[in-house]
Amino acid sequence: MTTPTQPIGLDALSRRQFFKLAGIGAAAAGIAGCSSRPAREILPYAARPPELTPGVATYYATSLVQDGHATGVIVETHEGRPTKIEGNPDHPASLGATRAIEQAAVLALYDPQRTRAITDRGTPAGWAAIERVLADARAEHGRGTHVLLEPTSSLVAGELLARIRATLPAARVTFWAPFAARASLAGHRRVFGRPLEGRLALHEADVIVALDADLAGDHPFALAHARHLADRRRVVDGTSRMNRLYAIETSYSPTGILADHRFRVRPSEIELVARELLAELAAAGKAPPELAAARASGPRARWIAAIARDLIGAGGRTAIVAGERQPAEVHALVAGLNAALATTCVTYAPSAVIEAGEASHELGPLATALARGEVTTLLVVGGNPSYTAPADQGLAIDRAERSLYLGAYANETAAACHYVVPGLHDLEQWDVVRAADGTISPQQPMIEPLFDGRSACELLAAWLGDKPVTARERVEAAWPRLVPSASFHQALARGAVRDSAMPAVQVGVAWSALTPNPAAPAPAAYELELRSHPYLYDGRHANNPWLLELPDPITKLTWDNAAQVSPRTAAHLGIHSGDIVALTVAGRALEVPTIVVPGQADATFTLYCGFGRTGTEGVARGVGVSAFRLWTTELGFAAPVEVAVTDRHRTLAITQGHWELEGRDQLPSATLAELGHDPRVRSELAHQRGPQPTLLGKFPHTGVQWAMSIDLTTCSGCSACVMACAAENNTPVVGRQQVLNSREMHWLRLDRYVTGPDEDAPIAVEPMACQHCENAPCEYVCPVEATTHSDDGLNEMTYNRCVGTRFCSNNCPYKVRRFNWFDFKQHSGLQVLARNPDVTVRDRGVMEKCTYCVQRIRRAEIDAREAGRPFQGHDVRTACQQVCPTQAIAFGSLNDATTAVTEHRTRPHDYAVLHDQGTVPRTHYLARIRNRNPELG
Amino acid sequence: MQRGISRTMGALFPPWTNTAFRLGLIGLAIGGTALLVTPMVYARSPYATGAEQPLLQPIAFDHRHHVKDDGIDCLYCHENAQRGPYAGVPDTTRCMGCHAQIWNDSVTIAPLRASYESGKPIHWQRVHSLPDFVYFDHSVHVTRGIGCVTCHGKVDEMAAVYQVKPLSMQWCVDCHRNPAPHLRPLDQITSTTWQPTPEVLTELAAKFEPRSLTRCSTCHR
Amino acid sequence: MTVDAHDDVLLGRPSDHEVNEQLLSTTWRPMTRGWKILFAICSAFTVLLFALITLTFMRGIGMWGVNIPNAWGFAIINFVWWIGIGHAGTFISAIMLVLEQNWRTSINRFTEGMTLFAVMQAGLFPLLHLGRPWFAYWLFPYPSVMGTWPQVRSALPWDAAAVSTYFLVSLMFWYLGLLPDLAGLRDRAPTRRRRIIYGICALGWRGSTQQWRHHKVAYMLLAGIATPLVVSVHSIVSLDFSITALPGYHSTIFPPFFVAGAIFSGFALVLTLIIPARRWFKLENVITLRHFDLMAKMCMVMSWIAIYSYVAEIFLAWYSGDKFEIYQQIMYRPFGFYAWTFWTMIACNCLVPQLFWSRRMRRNLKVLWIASLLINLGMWLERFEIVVVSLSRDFLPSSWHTYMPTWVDLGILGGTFGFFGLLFLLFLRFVPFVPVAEIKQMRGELEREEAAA
Repeated sequence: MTTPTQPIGLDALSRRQFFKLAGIGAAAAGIAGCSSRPAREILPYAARPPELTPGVATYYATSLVQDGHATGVIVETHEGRPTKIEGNPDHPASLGATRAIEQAAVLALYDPQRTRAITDRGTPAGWAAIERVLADARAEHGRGTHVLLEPTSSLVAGELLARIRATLPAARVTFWAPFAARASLAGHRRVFGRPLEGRLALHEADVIVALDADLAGDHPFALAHARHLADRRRVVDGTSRMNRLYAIETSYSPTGILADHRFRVRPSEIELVARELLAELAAAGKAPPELAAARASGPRARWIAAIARDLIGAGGRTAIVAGERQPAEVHALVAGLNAALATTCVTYAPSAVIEAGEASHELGPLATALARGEVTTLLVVGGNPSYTAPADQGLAIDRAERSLYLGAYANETAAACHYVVPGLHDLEQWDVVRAADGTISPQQPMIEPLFDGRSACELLAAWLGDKPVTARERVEAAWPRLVPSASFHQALARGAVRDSAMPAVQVGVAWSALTPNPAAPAPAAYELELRSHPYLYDGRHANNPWLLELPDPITKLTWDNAAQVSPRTAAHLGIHSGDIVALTVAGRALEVPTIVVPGQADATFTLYCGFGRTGTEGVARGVGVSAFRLWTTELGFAAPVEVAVTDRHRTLAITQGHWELEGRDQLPSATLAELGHDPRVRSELAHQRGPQPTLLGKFPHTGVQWAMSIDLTTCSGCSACVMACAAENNTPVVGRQQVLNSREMHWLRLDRYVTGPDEDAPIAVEPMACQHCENAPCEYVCPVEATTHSDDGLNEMTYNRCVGTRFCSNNCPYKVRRFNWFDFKQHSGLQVLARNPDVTVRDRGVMEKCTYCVQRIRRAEIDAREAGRPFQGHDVRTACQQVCPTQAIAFGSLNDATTAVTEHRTRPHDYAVLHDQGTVPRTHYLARIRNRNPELG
Repeated sequence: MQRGISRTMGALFPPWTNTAFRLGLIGLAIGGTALLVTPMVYARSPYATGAEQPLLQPIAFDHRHHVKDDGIDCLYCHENAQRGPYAGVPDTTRCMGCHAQIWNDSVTIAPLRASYESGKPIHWQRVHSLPDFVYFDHSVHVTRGIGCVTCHGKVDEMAAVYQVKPLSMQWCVDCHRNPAPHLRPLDQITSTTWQPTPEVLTELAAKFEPRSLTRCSTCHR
Repeated sequence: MTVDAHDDVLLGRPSDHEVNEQLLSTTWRPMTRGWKILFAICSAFTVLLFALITLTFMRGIGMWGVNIPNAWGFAIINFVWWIGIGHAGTFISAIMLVLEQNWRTSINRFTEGMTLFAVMQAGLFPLLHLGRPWFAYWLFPYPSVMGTWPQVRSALPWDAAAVSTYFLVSLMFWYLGLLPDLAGLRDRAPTRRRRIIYGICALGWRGSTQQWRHHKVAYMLLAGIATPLVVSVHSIVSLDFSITALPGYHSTIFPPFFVAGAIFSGFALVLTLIIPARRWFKLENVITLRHFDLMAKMCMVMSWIAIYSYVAEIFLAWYSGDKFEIYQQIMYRPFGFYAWTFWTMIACNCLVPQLFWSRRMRRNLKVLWIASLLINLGMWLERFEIVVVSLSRDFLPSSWHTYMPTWVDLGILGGTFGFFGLLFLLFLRFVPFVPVAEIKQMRGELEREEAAA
């Protein structure tokens, strides 16, 4: 029993929001939870916005930004409250998909640890106080004033910064984000003479080599890359043509999972591999002969030669990519490689992130200035530099006379600064930003700022002394100047400006810049690789419980970080997963638990950044340890490390302990050649589909018959689907202790198995949710018929009928049912606003599971009925399907020859998991197919 | 009887105890039955279903006056019933559309004026409550030939609105099993007097092709 | 028939008066210190039980060790174990009555009491283990305002029906047998208050020939009803497992296997309880070594049925060629994470009863008593094997996870022992736990036999 006012926390909301939310009086159901005593009051609007019908979702386009790179999204709002984020199909950096991070952004909007009011050393202050600070910062052309921003591509901010440079020449501007892509600019400046970024046309490439490059994972343009890669990997049968992806990396990445060949190398070897590849090409006359000196010897030689031949054979339809973590030298070499291959799939264009003249992109100068006490006013605009600063460049913010922090979250930096101004979440933001390829993407707010926050532009404008205007006015006024070509309103509706990407520039490689013989570093006993976390990124999302509980794509670790180590190295050190080791880099030691991961390069440790937050953010605090403490500017992201094994142990909350298939055939995989003409493989696959002898009657296939098909060849395990499912279906977060006892509530889990014997450990991923069996074992054992079968082939779960015997789970061969062991649902607090009102919030003691997003199906059905048109369900997409960057998931009616699922059923590598159990699952899979290089077998 | 009773027992139990005992047995039987039957009766009574109970509303809104006398159609105020899942209560501006002119100084609608000026919503008491786990969609019913009166009764004759139907699952399912007899032409959706005839029902059935919707996820999602 | 004086079901030929003195007086003789101490301990555990039940109701069954995939744990194990215990009682009193085994006479009341109290423990768990126990009544068919009914394809509604029927029939059977002795107490109890209370409970039993005739008929009828229940209840319980597709659950031999196991553990607990009781209440003349000899033999027979079942399960797993069954039965149970439970079970259920090949062992009460404890443990572990070990390793390795009980699990298990003990002590205190009337009857029969001989 909840009236909408209770869970929202009226105090936390401006009046205007309250009325937006008040409209959900009727819709309170979604928020109130699975209660049989619903809201007693109806609160109608005082004046209902004309575009809004209570109970009917509205959708708006906007952009989410990370390090200045925009991703276009469509936001679902209910009565003015954002509840779900989808990708924007019209946006080149999204193509309709998002990552897990974007999915979770909606929860971050309602984060209770957001900065709520302007404070001066913790005591409430007014905007006037801030204006005084900024006025002082204007004095003497801004002398002694330093402004520290996150890298940005905002056109509005660009203008303001230009004016700041003009009117406040003495002020110093610094951009900082630990994982901002700077190395490639430096590397390309070396060979091209100007800072450029590579642009990949992966949908045209036949052979792709990823040198420690997580193309489908942490790359700024990952969503587009993933789609383009996958579009060339959709196997219809053995005769299909596939691109070939080589991944050469230290630790496993989603790209490594997708790869046809994956080679484990130590971080220090990446550069050697690049040189040796170049040498092979030089030897083949593709590059200046003097570069051929560095040809490979030893174990690498074989596969490097093979890759080189494969590349040359591809006739320019190749792409070689180096990861942003790699030093400039590697990027230079890779530019050379692409030039040598005269590839048409890699072009070069200026970065979308604004340079702002001679602004520094290093923390060094600012750190020094602070240490020398030369900083009178420090303006920190966004980011969390106190936490992300390299170990050798710690910021002594307290040395500044005045420091001001503008940010949306009460993090470490906020704690360090005198003045704190609430910042804005992207969903509260007016701005014009650019995607990684330069596409202009407007940002419009989905909801009024919850806590009277200010945008970065507003602060900069106030610093310049502009008279205050509303954010919308500022953007609308600037638009004609910034984007003369396009209409503001069309851009808002579309979420992107057509053809506004940065044009590619013609470049020629200065071969002289590439030294043939590297000063090969003396190999250290052990090497440490530092990576951004796939979900927490640089720690900015560490207060988001959704992301903390989302299992890592490879290790399946939740609520923790651990140093990844290969089985061989672990055996050599005599450690097991969970044993704590002390890692020492350049005298700085850090104690972390280890986790044994097949496919990790031997004698290396990989550690994610983003954990070990120490701010006031309650969820993030104390989760894991901060890898930034081992990160120094001179050593970069890969460093020699000393390892000392301690006798302590920490049990890790891992959702899937088993890597092995245990000799079972739940996840078949084959090479393209085998699929074409290997009778054994073909018959093995054929045995896992087709009719089964049964005493039960056949399920009647009339009308729409829902089914799903998942293509494992294009599944990278990125886990966006899991997050999307949680966001769509209100699945609760349970915390580390419950995960330890195997009580995580995700309806969809990504099973990952090592599918091959060799030490490179080829991994395949198998998304596993309710299979909606036609002969569902769960249904006949339920004593109260809480789980039943609908006439359109759904295995329905009626929560409010469930008494919680858990018999269904015991009898589910796929173990995809989840049980509310406690009252997991959140009862109050801002975050209940992120709930989807179309899905019941489950009570304690009831079973739940994947429903094929039945709420979307029924909604579409109702719309069709109301419009009086026959319902075919072509417009229904499940949350996991909609978000998938590689479009690996197909969903539709089996009773309809035009749908993808029907067609997938006819493919030779279509199979059903546990087919021999006769459950007749509605979810089928397309077996993992690898396009192996015949030379490498 | 007496003969068989031993000396000691005679002392223990006078003859009336036999009767008492028999009565006790009967009481036991009745009590046991009552224990089973009473809850089932209660669950069907208005006490449990909440039917027949007018609620005290912030404004003494009289449907008889607005619908009967003024002839205002249900959908004029409850327009969302044909657009979305919730029929809802009209927003203040809708009421003020008329009451800016008519009765604009009446004390009865003082809360309305207050809401209009302050922009704060009126806290109406909910009359028809469905559990949170039930997803009822007004528009699909209203646009497919199910009238207001079918579930809400003759609201036009109510001084203060009250619930007439039990709104129990049994009651929902009875109609969902066989919707055809409850159909009406779209122009009669809001009528409280329209009576069906067999011929009309058959052609309506042909028009709306109502399906038996007894799958759980029709209402529970 | 000649009767060896040392191998009789009744030593000596006590007169009615002697029998009354010996067997009825237990209800008013002041209780020993031992009894009081035991009573205190059992009460403490009972309090613990209900405290933990409250905790579970308030917080949810997350307080237990259960998880996904091990959605069932201690609760179901305890349920099956306790309901199994219940079986010996009805078996002895009903089936052996029908089979006219006169040695049942001295122990049947005792075992019936045990049955009742065991079934009461068992009855707790189906309710407790529900996620939403306040909706437990949905498992019973009744006209609901939801227009819904229980599902007859599931074993659970039948469980609910079977267990409650079993409890009611056992209760009536027990009480009917108790009537004449209650009347006896009414007539002999020292204080008037007791006489009145017992008098009311005796429902006006006067021991007239007519009443005796009706009593005999009713008693036989109830025995006739109870007999199939012994088989049906545990068969239905076994269906909770065997109707599923889970390796380790999915098995057709479960119904007979479960019934045999139930009687096995039932007899074991009878021994566990009756040996000390016999000592304390000096019943060597009515509960003789012959009784123990026969019960030990029963245990051995049941043990062999269990052995057969174990072998059959493993053989069938291998013979089916089903990789999941083979992994579960042949690789995981004997050699996996829970291997020690498997081997302990084998030792207790298969090896220990083989002692009873020897007559000396069958009549050595110390051995018998320890053996009975081990058998109870073994039978509990057998249910653990079935319930938990099967679940922890099913089809997809990705969902494999082990099960560990929490302190609440252990507390509740301990609590049921306490509660059971409490009820049993009260039973010993307030009603004659050896059927006086039947003893007298048996004595008469024996004397007639001897006269004839």
